[in-house]
Amino acid sequence: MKNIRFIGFILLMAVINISSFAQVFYPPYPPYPPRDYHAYHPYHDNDQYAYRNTSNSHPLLFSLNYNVAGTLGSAHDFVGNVSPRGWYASLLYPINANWAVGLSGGYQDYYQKIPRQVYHQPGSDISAVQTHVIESIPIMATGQYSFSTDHSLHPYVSLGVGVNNINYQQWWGEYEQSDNRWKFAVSPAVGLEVPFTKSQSVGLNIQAGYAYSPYNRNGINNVSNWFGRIGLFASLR
Amino acid sequence: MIRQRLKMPGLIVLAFASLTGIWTGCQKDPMNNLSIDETRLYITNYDTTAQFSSYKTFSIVDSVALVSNTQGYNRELTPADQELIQKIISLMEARGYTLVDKSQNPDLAINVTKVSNLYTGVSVYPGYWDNPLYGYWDPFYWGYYGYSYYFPPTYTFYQVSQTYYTIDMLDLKNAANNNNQIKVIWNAQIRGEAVDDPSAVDTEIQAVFDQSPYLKAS
Repeated sequence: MKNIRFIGFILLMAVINISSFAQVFYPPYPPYPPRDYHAYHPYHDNDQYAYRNTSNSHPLLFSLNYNVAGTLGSAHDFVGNVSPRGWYASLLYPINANWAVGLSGGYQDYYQKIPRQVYHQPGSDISAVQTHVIESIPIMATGQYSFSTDHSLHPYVSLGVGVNNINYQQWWGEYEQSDNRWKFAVSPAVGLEVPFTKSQSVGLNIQAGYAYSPYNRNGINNVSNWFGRIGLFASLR
Repeated sequence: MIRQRLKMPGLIVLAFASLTGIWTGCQKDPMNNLSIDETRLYITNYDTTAQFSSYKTFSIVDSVALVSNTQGYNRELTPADQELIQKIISLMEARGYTLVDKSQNPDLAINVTKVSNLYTGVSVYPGYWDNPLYGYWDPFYWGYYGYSYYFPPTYTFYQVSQTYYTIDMLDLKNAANNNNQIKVIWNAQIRGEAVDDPSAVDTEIQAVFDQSPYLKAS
């Protein structure tokens, strides 16, 4: 839980920082230049109406999403319920009209309660209600490629590579056996941005993908899952 | 100025960022999602070499030994304890064993102990059966002076501080041939929340016998 609060705090601080930095003189006429302003106005670098630096011409893209996920493979045998408890956020820097790179991270809580049954071992029988939990906190370097930037729909593909904090819990009644580890993580995804406005500075984000982390405990070979995300994106300037 | 700076995207982002705090609070807490009954764990251990049908008679203690790091040596007989002993007797009889007085050389003896550790870090565990500082059913109670109890090392115990019942079935029949050791051929532990609730002991004892079908005289 401390990890999650910390990450949330950092994200919040990042957002506040970025919005307070953005003391920009906006041109008096709408609409504001589109994200790829320089592509259309390559010689206007000294123009007082043009954005003054690259971070303004390519504002940071922030997105925050609700995350639904389900485990796959041996992790699914451990906790099979689809988890509706999760979120995922990303902060990307557009290096050109198509490519953006940055950081992303989130939280997912998988939970399953198994009704009372008797577990047999040689010479021992244990009757218990078991609760299986996997909490996952991925933090990844993320690259995103948009196929089109000038239409009202922006389909994209993305790839995240980083680490995943896996908090494994197996409860026998009220007795917990747990294990917390940082593992490698990789996550490819496809998505769609639907801007609400012409300036394309805010809109809807939809994403679906797959995530994989190696893991080895109690018959779980890896923690892999599918996910679906829906949320908002915004250009921070 | 502030209004200009925050604008729409900024506002949305701030609103969502504050939501992340709420989301992490939505983590499903396993303990909060268990009923009192679901917290309970019934563990039975048995000697895999024992022939349970070779025993015919049994005797049981008349009260419960209270092993506690705060109350020391004690024996008690609360309504729950009474209920528990009665239930064991009736289920043992249903499995074909005959209840006899301990003076009549029973084949099996049953000890009932309630372990109650109130402080974490100072726990009477394991060895509730053999700890001279606290209450236990001394082998002498069964007429075996100078004997000690033997628990097979394969038995499963959970090491936590809490109130739990533990029931030990002793092999008196073969004690003399076992190097002066009274072998515990069956052990049941009842753990979890409020295990000494009088309304729960019936279910608890039924459960430990249900998962021990090998306990029968024929």
